[in-house]
Amino acid sequence: METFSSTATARAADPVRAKPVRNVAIPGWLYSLALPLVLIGAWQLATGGRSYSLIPPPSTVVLTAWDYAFGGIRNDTYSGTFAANAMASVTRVFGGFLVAMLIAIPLGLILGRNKLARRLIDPTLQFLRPIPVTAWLPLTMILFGLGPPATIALIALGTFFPMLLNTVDGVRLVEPRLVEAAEMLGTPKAAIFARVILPAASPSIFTGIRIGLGLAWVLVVVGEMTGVPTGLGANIMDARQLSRTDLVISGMIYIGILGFLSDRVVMLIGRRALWWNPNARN
Amino acid sequence: MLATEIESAIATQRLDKTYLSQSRDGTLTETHALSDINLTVAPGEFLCIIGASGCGKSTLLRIIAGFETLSSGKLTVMGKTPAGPGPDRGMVFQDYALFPWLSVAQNIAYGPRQAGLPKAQVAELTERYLDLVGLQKFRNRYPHELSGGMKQRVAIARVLANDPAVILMDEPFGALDAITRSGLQESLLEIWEKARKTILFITHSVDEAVYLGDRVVVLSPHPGRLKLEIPVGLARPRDIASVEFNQLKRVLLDAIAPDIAVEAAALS
Repeated sequence: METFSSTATARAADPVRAKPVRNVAIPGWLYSLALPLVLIGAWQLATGGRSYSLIPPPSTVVLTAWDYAFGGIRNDTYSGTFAANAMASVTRVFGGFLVAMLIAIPLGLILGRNKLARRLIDPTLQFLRPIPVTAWLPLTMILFGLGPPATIALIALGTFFPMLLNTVDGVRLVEPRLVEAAEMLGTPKAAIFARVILPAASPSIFTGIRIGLGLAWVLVVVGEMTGVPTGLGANIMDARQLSRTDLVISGMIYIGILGFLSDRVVMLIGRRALWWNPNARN
Repeated sequence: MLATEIESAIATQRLDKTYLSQSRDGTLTETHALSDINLTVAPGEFLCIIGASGCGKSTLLRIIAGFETLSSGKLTVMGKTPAGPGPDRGMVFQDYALFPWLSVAQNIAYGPRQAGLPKAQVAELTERYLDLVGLQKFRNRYPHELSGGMKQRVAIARVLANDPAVILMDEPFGALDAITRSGLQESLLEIWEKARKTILFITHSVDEAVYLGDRVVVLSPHPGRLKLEIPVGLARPRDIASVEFNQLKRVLLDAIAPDIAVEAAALS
């Protein structure tokens, strides 16, 4: 008895003793930087100080990235051209994305609510959906010509489906109880859609928007790789042909940053608008 | 007072409900959910309905609420046959069904807003019912930030703000822990005594039915019919340990026992 109770007390006290309170708070961004720093370090070790390397060391890439953005180091065709090219890509990303959004969300709302519309349109959509959007590239080039319009069309096509399907699901999966609650509280039939269905479906619609925008950044590179003179994707393809791997990697990094920033902006908007939704907070 | 002129808040006559359901092999089966229900609820009465699962108690409530239609018979609420759901019959669901995108105060204001009341009056009603259910401090919280008990308080306030003729409650405290549950029972009785609303309360707990109701009705399943109806003549607050309380419980438990035995046999 005596032994049992004393071990029990010791065990109960253990977790407190095992976890000393840490006084030094490490800011979260330091954790986020650890892995990239390790990777860049390994990259530098593997490529730096050699006379010839297919992949340039990070120090070279940093210089190129700086030159690409601001000029003054290499003074070649790409020096200081980042802003103009990034602008071209951003315009295409948001152009294609907005076109898709303006069609996908209203259509999704209709399909989610209307059984007849669903029966008429859904089978076709289900057939078209599994076709990889990159497979549309030749067709968009034939339809829209070589150049930016084909890229925008490709982005619109690719981002259309995730936004549409998430909207349809969001509307269809609205808790029937919420509609009943609205009805018994006196909501006019015609107002149920605006006052209940739309807000209840908005987190799912928002998820579609985020997925769509992420995909738009993938597709802008694919789209710009063929017959488009400007844009970050075009720069990457040109740099590859010129064996300027440093520039290829600089372009990749910038696209990563831009994609990340645009996702953050959408997240912030979503967090403000949907802050009642606990799932929209990470 | 209107309440004294109308002798029943809710009345059903020979109410019958059958519905068709399609099984996996495509055959249609007819389910007789409610049979020959004759029930009268007096204005201001607190009526509890209990019964084994599948006895149709929720179906009955949903018919009165207007979410489902009756197959035959007659239903009147305050002397009128209701057409579909409406704010005269407030429903409190077991799973709360609060609007997650609205704050506590906005959820309570929702009904008065639908009624098109002027802003000042909506605000006044919101304050009154926030106070009544004791959630002033949580007025700007959102449903996901509330405990189950608080959510159900909001759901009750939301319905009361519409000043309904009857309040329908479908196992409202069934998902709550025992302590929260008894706290809400006390609050509900307090609110009911103040507001003198007609309450139709469904529960699977005999204790809860005897503790809350003016009258307890037992439904038996397959098809759901009225089996027993007993008035609870005990003064409130009721002593759940008293002999009278337990005698009533015994009668009700005996009435339900065969239905539960059938259910258990069907499961094994």
